[in-house]
Amino acid sequence: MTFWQITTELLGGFVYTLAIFGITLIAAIPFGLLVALGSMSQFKPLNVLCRGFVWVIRGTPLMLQIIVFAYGPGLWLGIPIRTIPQQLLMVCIAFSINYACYFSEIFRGGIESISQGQYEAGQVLGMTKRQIFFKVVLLQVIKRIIPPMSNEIITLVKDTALASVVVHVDLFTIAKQIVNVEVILWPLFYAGLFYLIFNGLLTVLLGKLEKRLEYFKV
Amino acid sequence: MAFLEIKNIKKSFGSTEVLKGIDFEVEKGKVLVIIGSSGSGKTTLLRCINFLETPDEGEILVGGDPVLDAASREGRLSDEELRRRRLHFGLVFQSFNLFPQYTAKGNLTLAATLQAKERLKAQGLHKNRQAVAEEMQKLSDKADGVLARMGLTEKAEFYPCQLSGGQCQRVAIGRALMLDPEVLCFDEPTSALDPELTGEVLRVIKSLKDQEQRTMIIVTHEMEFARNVADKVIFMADGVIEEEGTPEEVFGNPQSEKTKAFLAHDK
Repeated sequence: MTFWQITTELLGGFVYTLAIFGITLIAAIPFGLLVALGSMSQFKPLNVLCRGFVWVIRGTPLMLQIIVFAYGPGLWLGIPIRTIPQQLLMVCIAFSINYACYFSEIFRGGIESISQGQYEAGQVLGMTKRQIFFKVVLLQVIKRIIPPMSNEIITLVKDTALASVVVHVDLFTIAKQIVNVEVILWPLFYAGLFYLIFNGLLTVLLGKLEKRLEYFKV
Repeated sequence: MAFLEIKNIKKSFGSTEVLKGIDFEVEKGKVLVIIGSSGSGKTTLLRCINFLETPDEGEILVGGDPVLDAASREGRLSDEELRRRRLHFGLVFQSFNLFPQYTAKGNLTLAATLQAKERLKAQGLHKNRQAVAEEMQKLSDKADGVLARMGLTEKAEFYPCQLSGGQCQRVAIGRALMLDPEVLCFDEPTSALDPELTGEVLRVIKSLKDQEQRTMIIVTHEMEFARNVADKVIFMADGVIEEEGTPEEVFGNPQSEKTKAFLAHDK
């Protein structure tokens, strides 16, 4: 294989990596927020349920979770997951649930770090709980959680390689296949460069976002 | 009948009784100053009046209308009703609690804007661009007026982190004024400030009395200011009103031993 052939192959894998990354991010943020709200709920059963869920998901390997989602339906429900889109879907679900739990803890920490005074100021001004959350608290939380979220987001880019346990289309899997077939090592490092550049891009973007919120202090 | 009547307010936290039955009245346009050592229940009292704490017992009436009645079994108020009732009062916090992501003017207009929008929606006018624009312009003008009274015209577009403590507290006072509360409460408004910044805040509060005849309840440790601004002074100790009277009476001729000790210590 020529350098250009390898590049095209890897780019093909990179598209799937990006897809897993993007779908997971978009799904895990709202889901994580729900889990965070549940773990802060005064309603005990919901609170226990959410915290227990986070405990299980954070306490077991992501790879195991991917396997459960990819093979579980076939084993226990009689709905085998066979096609690549189906496999990708289940992988994205597993990733989303896993990352939602990590995100939820970041969100919870962020929300709980906002001083009680902000809520009280909103209350005495006759604002509703909803208005206080969306108009006062949320942006402050976002500012607070950008650094830890950046960490998770960058980790997610690399964790997509774990998809290879069930579906063989992502960047890292393609690189491994090339290494096995061609008996050369450098495509692996070349794939590493893809991750590195993409994460560099994300770091710059997240840094910009952080800068944009520098006009106020919390 | 007084404008604001506070009747037998009691509040406990766990087994600690913080307020043991507080009664007082404030006439319209008058200033009540509450003094007392920390832990005497002053702040809890203000928080009860502003619905940040729910008293275990007692009543609050504004203009003869019951605003809060702990004994009534009408059940918990709806959020809507609670919001409506708490707007009788405004509260300025010790630590300002400004919204950091809004400018000075944004802090003033935020709640007022949300309420104006709700009002327009109730009238079915929220889709009428002109009505909305007019309402927003009115609020903006009002905020400019309030900022001018606070001496903050030049700081309208500044964020709280760019303002001094004294300026922040004046923004906070302006924010409370924007909603036209019938009774404006201050919880140690200068305690978080450097000594050289207290003057500007105290002057603004004094001007609310002199120029606008605002009804106010002020919890403070600034005795000179209290004497200067108060129509009536209450000295609180251990959750009860130990002494009350005109500033001349309380400061000039205290009757209670506790008041004497407190005032002597303060000098």
